[in-house]
Amino acid sequence: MTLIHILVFALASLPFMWLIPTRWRPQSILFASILALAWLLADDVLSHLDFMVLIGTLGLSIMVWWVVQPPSETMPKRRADTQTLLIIGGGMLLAGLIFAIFNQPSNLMMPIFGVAVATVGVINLPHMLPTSNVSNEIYKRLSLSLIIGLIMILGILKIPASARFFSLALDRDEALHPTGITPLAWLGFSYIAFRLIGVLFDFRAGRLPKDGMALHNFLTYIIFFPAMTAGPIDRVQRFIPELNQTKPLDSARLMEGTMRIAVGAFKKFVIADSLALVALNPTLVNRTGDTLGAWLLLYVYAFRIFFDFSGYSDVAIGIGRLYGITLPENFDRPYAQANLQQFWQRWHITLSTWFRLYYFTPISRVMLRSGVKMPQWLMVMIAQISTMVLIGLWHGITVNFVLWGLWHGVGLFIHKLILDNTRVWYQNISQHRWRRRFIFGISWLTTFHYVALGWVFFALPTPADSLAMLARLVGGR
Amino acid sequence: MAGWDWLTKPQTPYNRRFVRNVVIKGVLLFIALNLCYAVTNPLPFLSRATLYNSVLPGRDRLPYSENPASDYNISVQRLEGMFASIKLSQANKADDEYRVFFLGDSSVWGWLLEEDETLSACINRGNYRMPDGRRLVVYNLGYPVTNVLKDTMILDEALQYQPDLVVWFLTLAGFYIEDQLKHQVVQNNADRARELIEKYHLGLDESRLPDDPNLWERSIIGQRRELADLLRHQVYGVAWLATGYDHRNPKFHEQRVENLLPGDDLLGMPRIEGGWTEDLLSFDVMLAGMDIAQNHDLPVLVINEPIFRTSGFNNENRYNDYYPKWAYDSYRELLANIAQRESWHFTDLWDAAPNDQFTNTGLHLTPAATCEVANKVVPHIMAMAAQP
Repeated sequence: MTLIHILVFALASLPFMWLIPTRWRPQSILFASILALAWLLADDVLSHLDFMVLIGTLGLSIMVWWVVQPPSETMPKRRADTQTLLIIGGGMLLAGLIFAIFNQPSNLMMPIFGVAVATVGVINLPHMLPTSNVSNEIYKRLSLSLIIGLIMILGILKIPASARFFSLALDRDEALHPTGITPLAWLGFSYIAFRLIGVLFDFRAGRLPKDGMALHNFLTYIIFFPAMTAGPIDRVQRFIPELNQTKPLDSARLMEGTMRIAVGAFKKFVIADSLALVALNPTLVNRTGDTLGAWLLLYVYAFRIFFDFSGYSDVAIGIGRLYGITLPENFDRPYAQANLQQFWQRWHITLSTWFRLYYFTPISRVMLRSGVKMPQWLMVMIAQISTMVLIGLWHGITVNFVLWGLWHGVGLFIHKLILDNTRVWYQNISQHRWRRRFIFGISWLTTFHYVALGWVFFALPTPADSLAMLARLVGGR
Repeated sequence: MAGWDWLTKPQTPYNRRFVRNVVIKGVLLFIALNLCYAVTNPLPFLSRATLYNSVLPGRDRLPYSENPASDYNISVQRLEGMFASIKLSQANKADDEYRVFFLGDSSVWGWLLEEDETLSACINRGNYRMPDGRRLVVYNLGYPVTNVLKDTMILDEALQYQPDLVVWFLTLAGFYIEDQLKHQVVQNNADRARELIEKYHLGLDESRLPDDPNLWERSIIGQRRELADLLRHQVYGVAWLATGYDHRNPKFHEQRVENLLPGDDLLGMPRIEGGWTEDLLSFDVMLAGMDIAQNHDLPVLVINEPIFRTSGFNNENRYNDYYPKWAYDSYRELLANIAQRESWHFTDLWDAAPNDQFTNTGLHLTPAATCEVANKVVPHIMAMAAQP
């Protein structure tokens, strides 16, 4: 999202919230999200690949919705879902027309194709929806297939070489790009995939609303435009009630939303982007001569990444508020925490919550219930390290992200061991204010530096670069 | 959420009146700030307010970059800002310092050279002592590209830093009348350029300088680019401090052109029969610069800088892709004549560097050749300092 996107999204909320009646808002937000997604996808020209991504996003989401729908749908709801498909077709046609007018007339084929797909969907929808005649087991199997499929797509996109291969295979206009390379920039797919996978897991665990979800609500949850590019990753059970009861844009919401956007934009576009000029990167590592310089670059990176991520989250939350939706918080002073566990409870909160909910807790439960005899510390270690490695892989499938995940997994495990062994001692010193403060200070300093050192793996592309940087940090060349 | 209580749990409830007041106050404050800024014109002051020489060490050469992201540097073009970031602006002149400023183009600034490989750095490494025992300390005030008006303006600004001598490196390309007002330093300091033109009746068309900025252009909004660049210049200082890089010096770069195109034109201009005359080049600008120095009792050593002399195709007509022989030879002759007429200290080092030591152009030298040239300049400095 650029400043122009943010400004347009924020300003559009005023006529949107004042002119559109409350009952039409969910559908209208979906329509706006489709247009916004097309705009965000189109860097300057909405290419065929962008349109495929748009269709792919909506298609995948509709498939997941179709699988997780309870079989006892009533006709009025199906009529609403049919309208939703028309909204999708209309949104895509409008997006395509806008971009065709301003950019490439040839792109008109894609929106027409999109509308054709939507029309076929409209005609066939009543026949396609689950009925009570079909066994629930089939849908469970389908949901599992979809989870695997989504993870595979995520994998393809997260491996740089495969992303480039598929980009070139799919994009016929590659020659138009000055660099000759058209990475498959499936905007926000990491977030989209996690929302979809989360819904599928919830479906399998029976945690979804019993009366199902209207298609427009579900799709809006997946592609709600403020949260498209950088989250937060909300939960469908929380989001849809918010969407159906959008708060009016009163003075309080206007102030909160606007201020939040202003703070977020300042964090992202002034602080983070300024720090990005000099934050850790491979060239800088190779050029850095001394230890002090290396530490300076590391500190700059640590703050840059915080202001970048949290700034985007603030903007998303702020825009959400203007549209009457309260998105969950994503960052809560993570660098002020005195241990790694607290850090992860406050850094990218919705992502770590997602992993806790859909991976850490289930895997811990499976290990506990399995017949395999295993000491508890080993179970904790496996669960923590594997969770953190998966969080690393979510950012990209590279050795360095695995190392970053391992770094944090091991850190969390060590923290747990220390915590278990010092709990009584810590309780004993709780009366001594200064001693407690001293311990807090040391813990905070250690936690911050542990996290900062972890960024060496996150920021640099190869283990060799990371090792070179770590060597410089301890005085080596 | 705790961190956002100031926003979500306000002391005064957000009602329509509150929002209206915020909007009105915000707009008024915005307008007032911009007006205040436009009226007080604090850019020169802000340009001097820098982290360099305080939080960050001062840079060795004036800030210039064609690729900020990899140079950790940026082209600052307001004179106050240019000087504020270099060591000179904070270096108190010691009693035993003989302070010399090197003026000139990219060859003096050090294109494709590290900070410690420039002409000035070579001399400073030599730890020379003047005949009276003072230490010879050279400051690099070169700034790309060739332009005598830009040099004159830098000289004018530099006078406040107590120089004992100025060494002015020149080449023909710096004298083209058409180019004098195009340089970014000139464009960004148009008021000062205009003063010079008027004071010395220079043969330059003042109307090609940007008009005095209007109220809008003087506001924060109007000067947002300059302000952003000032901020970026400070931020790049961190990477510069960590790496020592202020100029990307690629291992592989474009090589000087050995084989030249046919013909003997000068940038498309046909041969001038009889060669240059004083009025066809910006010697009036240089004379103004010399006058400024003279008014401050500041001696100036004028040096015609080395150029590449090809032995490749068309070498009978041209020295290099910049200069046809007719143009360069007549310029050298003219410069020597004027120097003699005006009693300048003048040295012609046009062929002082071996041909194989030129890097990407006919003016830029390797580190070794740069130091060779620097060593040839030192005796002239010593000689001038020895004169009463």
